Amino acid sequence: MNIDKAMKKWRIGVLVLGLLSVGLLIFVIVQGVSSKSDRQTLKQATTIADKLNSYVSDNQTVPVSLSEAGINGVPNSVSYTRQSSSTYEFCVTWKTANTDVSSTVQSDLYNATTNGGYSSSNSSTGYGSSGYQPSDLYIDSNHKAGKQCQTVKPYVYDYNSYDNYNSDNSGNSTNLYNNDSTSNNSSDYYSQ
Amino acid sequence: MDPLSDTVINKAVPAQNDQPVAVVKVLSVKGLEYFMMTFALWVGAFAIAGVLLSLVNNGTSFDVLAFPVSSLIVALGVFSFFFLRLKKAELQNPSLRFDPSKRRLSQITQIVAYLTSFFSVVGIVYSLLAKMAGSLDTVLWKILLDLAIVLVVAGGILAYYWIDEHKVR
Repeated sequence: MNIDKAMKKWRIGVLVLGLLSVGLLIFVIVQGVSSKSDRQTLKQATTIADKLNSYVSDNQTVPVSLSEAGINGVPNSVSYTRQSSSTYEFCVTWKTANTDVSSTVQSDLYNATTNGGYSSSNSSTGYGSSGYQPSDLYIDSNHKAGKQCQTVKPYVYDYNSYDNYNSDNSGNSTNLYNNDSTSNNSSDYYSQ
Repeated sequence: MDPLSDTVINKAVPAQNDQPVAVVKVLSVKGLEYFMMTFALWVGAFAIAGVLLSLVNNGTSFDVLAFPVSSLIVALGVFSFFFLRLKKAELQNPSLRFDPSKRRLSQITQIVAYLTSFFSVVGIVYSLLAKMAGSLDTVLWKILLDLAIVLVVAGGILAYYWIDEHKVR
């Protein structure tokens, strides 16, 4: 009788620990289901990004839509918006965050050394919110939950615009790759 | 042949007593169960600390949590089974609490838990001093919470065994 009474408190203690563990298990299962969906999204977004980068590189223009670049079957979690002839916005909606401590630290260090550049940990909107625009579309496997967008400004030859890249207010182009011969004030290193 | 050599040998290896000396040491029957419980306890402690540390450091993704939670579920199940079984056996037979196999395992566990707790407290004091000196760039509360988790898990194990061993026979 006394033994049963003494055992009762230990059984309750073990039960509490068990319930906490089951709670954690349910949380991980839910995370796993969402993670499976995100893995699929990552795979599809990476494929789309590769095709889009290839299209821009081959055609030297930003497509109006993904279908113009020959990309079909785009999932709902991915969206593409052409902002101008030389920039576009690419968004991916993630169900869960996927960050680890080391990558967060690396990202923060990178962010610190690039004066607020590409960061997936500090920016509220994800990529490129600090003004930095990457020239290639890259889908990072470490991301926050929700819609994460990045504005991409690829290196394209734009014959209709002298100051497509990094132009200063005086109109002097500082583009390293602009080989437009009609630009008399160009400081292009390669056209001299 | 040196007549003293035999004496020297006898002096070098004196007969302490006439009791047989065990050359093969094995765990007692219950001692094996204590080992299984203790192993599950260690794995479970590492797992629960790992899960809590991950959650504190924003590691909430499936990849980060899957392994420690799997370890925790298995370890807790095994630990619970042996813990309740052995606790019942101890209540029925109190002399089992002083089983040498059990005491060896509980003492090793206490030593490891003590060292872990000790260095956690050192870490907490160091973090506070470093923050005061401005040489700590990381958020202080996060480091303190990390160390507190380790301290609670290791300290809890140490406290349980400490109280259990110091109970009146």
